[in-house]
Amino acid sequence: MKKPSVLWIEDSARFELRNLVGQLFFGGKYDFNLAEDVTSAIDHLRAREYDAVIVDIRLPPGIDPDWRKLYQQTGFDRVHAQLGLKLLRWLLTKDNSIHPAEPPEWIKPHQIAVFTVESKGEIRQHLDELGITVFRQKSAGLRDTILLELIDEILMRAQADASVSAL
Amino acid sequence: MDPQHLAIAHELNILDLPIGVYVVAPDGRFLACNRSVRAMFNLPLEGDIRASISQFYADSKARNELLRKATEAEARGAYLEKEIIPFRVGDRKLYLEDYCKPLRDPATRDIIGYVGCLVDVTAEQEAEKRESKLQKRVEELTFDIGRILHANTGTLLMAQQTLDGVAEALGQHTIKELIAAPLEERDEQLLKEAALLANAIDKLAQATDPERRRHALSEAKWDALTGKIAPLRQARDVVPGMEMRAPALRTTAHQITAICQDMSPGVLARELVREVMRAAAQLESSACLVDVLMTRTAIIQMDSTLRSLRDFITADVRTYEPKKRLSVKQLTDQAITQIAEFARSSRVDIVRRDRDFDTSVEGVERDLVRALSNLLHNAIKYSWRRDRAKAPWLTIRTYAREGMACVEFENWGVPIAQDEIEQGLIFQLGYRGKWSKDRGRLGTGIGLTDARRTAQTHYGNLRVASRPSNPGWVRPEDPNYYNQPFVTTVTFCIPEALKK
Repeated sequence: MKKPSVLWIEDSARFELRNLVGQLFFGGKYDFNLAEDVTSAIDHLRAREYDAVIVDIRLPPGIDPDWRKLYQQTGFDRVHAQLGLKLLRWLLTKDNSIHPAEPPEWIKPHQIAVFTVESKGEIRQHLDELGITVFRQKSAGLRDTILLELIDEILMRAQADASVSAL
Repeated sequence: MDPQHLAIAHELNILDLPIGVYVVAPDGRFLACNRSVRAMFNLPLEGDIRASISQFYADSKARNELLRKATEAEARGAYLEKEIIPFRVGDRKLYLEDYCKPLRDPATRDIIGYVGCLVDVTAEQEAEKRESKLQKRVEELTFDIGRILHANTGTLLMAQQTLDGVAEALGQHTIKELIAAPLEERDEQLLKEAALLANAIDKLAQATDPERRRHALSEAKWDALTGKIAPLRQARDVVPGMEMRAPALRTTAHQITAICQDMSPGVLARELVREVMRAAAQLESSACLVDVLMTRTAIIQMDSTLRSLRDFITADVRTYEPKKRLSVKQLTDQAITQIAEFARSSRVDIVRRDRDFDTSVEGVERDLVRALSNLLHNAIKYSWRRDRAKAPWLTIRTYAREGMACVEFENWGVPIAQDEIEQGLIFQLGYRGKWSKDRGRLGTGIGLTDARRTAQTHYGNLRVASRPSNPGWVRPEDPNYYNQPFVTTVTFCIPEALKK
């Protein structure tokens, strides 16, 4: 059976959040990829379809000049740029004022989870507009299985959605 | 004045002035007022006014006080001016600046009314109030943050010392010896131990017939166990990046131990099971040690960042420290002492040039040491290892040139992009360099801002230059341009003190 494919878009994965990925690499349960900036995330999303995509809100742009421009316009600041939200808006609403290129067609809100330091209250309106329901706030005290829980939640919701559609 | 202008002045109706103009009776009834005043108080813009200015005062007692002031001013030969009066018009609060004087009967000298001008300053008043509230909050925050950061510094020290103990227990060496070994070597060791564990599992699986295996452990658990062999052997490729390998291997080793503990006793060859458990325990312990050492470095880095942040934020509320004559050598020594532990834990050597050079400057010792420490901290944080046989190093040079005493920090590693230097972005508070997050080195966006500010308040400057260590190898248009090592030089210069 094909393993579910997972993309985590997170610039802190390699260092501060390194303990969360341990079980993903060796667990053998998922086909796991990591993107540490917006440009490489888009490269991954164009190369294949993912069953689950977990996105941080404060992301650096990577080398793509248009994303870099967007980043520069907000003073090179990840906090204010919130490129993760812009990436999601571009992917889900096909808003080409964010980026001129066409986003990949396959991605839908139920395949996405947001995992960020922002509280839900701060970004609720954006998530509601985009139809994203799976959200976790990064905070001290989180279990090291949080990523696995998020992935399972996305996959379960996708399964439930598929069952409803089949009816 | 020519006749035409004289006629205009004669016919001028003061009520046409582009400012609120009014005449009121002593009891406050409006006798006349222009459209501006009518608009301010929501009165009919044309026709008679049946209203009193008294009814609009936010504080009914304020009018008497104001009239008293107007009379006093008149006695001094002046008039009331720039008096801000709070009014209330419906639900709206209105702040008007009043210029007013009494009108007197020429015969009896009795007051028969008041004439004046009103200027709406509500927006300015509200902005001022907001600003004053904000200022108060900033003062509170500045005071509180000093205490909070102080408390956190203590917590970080506790965390660091606990980690030292854990590291010594895991590594069976002193922390000084443990931090001396480069992480790359520890990573290689982890990969070897992962391969040994894979071999031990493989050996156990090969030596056991399927029937006995089923007795010892469920099929799912056997699959989980044998499923780890390949990724453990290929750990370098399976987990990209040394930093993530330690936690990934630690978790896996722990899971393998848990599976072995689930095995029914006496079914499988005891020595082989023990070998797997021994290898798993060794890997888990080594991976924990690497993880602990990396976390310890992050904590020491954070501690230094917090100290510098606290100093920066509380700079304006600290007791004034007068400038004094200071030795540049001693300032540099103090900065090095403050950062020594961070340098050790980051395994970066500090190389001093011009060791015998010294000169004096006039300055605030605390601020200068903090600025130099910040620059040194950056240089350590952004240094790469360039020689397998040698720890990374940075160079400090001190010299005097054209009346300026300079301390130069040079490191080899993370680049600063040219546009970031040219546009002054690196000096903006909170700005983190494009490449500052390279290899876990987290920029805080304070160091260069603070150092430049300190240089400027001491009538000096801060210069930053960053260039590829091998110019021409990679062209600037190449996407990998900023992946190559850069030599970055940051020079802090302030005027030399006059020789006595």
